[in-house]
Amino acid sequence: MTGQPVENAPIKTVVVPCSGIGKTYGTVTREAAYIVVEELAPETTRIVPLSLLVLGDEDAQAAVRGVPVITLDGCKLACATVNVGEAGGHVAREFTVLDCYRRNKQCKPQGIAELNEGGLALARALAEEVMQAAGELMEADGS
Amino acid sequence: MPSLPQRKVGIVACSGEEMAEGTVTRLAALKVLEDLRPAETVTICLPLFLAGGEGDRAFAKFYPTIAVDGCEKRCAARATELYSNKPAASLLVDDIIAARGLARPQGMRRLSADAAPLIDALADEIAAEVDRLMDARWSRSEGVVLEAEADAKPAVNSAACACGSGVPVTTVEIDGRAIQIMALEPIMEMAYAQKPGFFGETGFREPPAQLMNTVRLYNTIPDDQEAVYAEAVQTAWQAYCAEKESTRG
Amino acid sequence: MTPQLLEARVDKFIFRVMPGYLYSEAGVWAATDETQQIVRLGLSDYRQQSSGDVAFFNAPATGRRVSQGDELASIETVKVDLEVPSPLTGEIVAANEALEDTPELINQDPYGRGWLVELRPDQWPPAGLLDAAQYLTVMTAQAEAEAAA
Repeated sequence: MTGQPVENAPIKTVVVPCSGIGKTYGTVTREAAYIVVEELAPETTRIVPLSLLVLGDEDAQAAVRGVPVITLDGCKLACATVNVGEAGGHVAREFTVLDCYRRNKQCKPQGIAELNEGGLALARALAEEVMQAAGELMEADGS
Repeated sequence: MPSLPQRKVGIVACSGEEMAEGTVTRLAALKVLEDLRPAETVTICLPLFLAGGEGDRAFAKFYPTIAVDGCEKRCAARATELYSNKPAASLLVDDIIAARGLARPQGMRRLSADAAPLIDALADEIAAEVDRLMDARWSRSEGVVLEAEADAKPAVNSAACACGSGVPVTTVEIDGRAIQIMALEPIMEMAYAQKPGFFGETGFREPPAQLMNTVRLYNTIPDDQEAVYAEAVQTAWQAYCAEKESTRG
Repeated sequence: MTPQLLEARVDKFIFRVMPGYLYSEAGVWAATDETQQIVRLGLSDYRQQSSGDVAFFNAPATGRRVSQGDELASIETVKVDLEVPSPLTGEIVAANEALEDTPELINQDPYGRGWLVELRPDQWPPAGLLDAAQYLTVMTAQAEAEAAA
């Protein structure tokens, strides 16, 4: 899985983006998740792909159990949150792109295969919110 | 004149975030949807199967789907079959790489530049499957292409109109005589989908009055042939309902 | 008892129509109680789905008069900035305050808690609106045209 931890730095948080492919919001969740696990916290975060959870993959299910999971959803159907719950995972924080957009109205996202500047800015804003939440979770955990 | 429901093909891409091939499936599916076959395709969201996307699930039961997977776990194909219906076609990125001698893609958030030919090749394969499925007869109950079965059910048989319009023509045998009715299958599909408004109190076995009225919009029925056509519509309707009910069961 | 909604399927989408309401072709519904003094207006299920997830609802000022076809309110989604045309003439008496904090109600419950505006009509029922069955036909044609585009 992406964002594999370095030695002696166990994964503290799992990030699950919604994985939608037909809307801009889905792309924003995926971009935000990559920003977190590839740039901001590669040692302590990882992505678990939603497609594996949908299928009931045992490794993926194990990965969302026992650690706090932050879900990033693109629409009101909340696929990431629902599927992590179905897999027996603990959703510690839920984010939706729509709420993040309301807090960052200047970042209007467009594009699906490729995000516009607004979409990239919104993804970064979402990633920063995720980082803050991850930090709070680690503090609460005493890490 | 009411518009008719159109045959479409659903594309279910695995979209797995953990590997470059997942991104390839997503981008290839989007290319088909937006550029290559926009009028013939819709995307089906894989996670929605579990999260309650009734429209996506129903579509995948009702229409043919193409599963596009990035790895041998085949999440898209297996989950589609598990939650809805067996995909009509299943494509794997590895197969395209092997068949065309292409480079394996690198990167996830940003694919390497050499992934572009692979995305194009996969999109072409998906588009070819879309074309095949658009031309084929599709059994919603079996989830398979029906071409080989066409002769097994001579009483009610549908095919594309010879005029090239793409409107299907249903042939119903009544007393050894072939009655041809344009657009009957999509009209029945629409009637069935719009229940209960279309059915009223008539129940499933009797064709609703609106069905015959809609048939008249698309077909010129001579006054002295009204009864024969009504019988043909009834026969086709019963066959259609029987198929639907077996699917529901 | 919740009335049985009419529905149409277009591709993977299911669009529902509330019986007993009147509709403009633009997908704005109008419903009133027995007194017919105040009419509640909102977006149809098809109009909200085709517009996308609502990020912002811009409420109109109460006391303003609108004519049929005038802008009643507006919503913003990622896909569109939609000016909602009034399906009838009258005076705006209320806007749905719940939408200030939760505009997603327009998507979640378009015929109920997601209503937009209440208006005192000059005339009820107004001319030119469709009943649910008529709107189902018009809406289905609109949805299929959009799907084929």
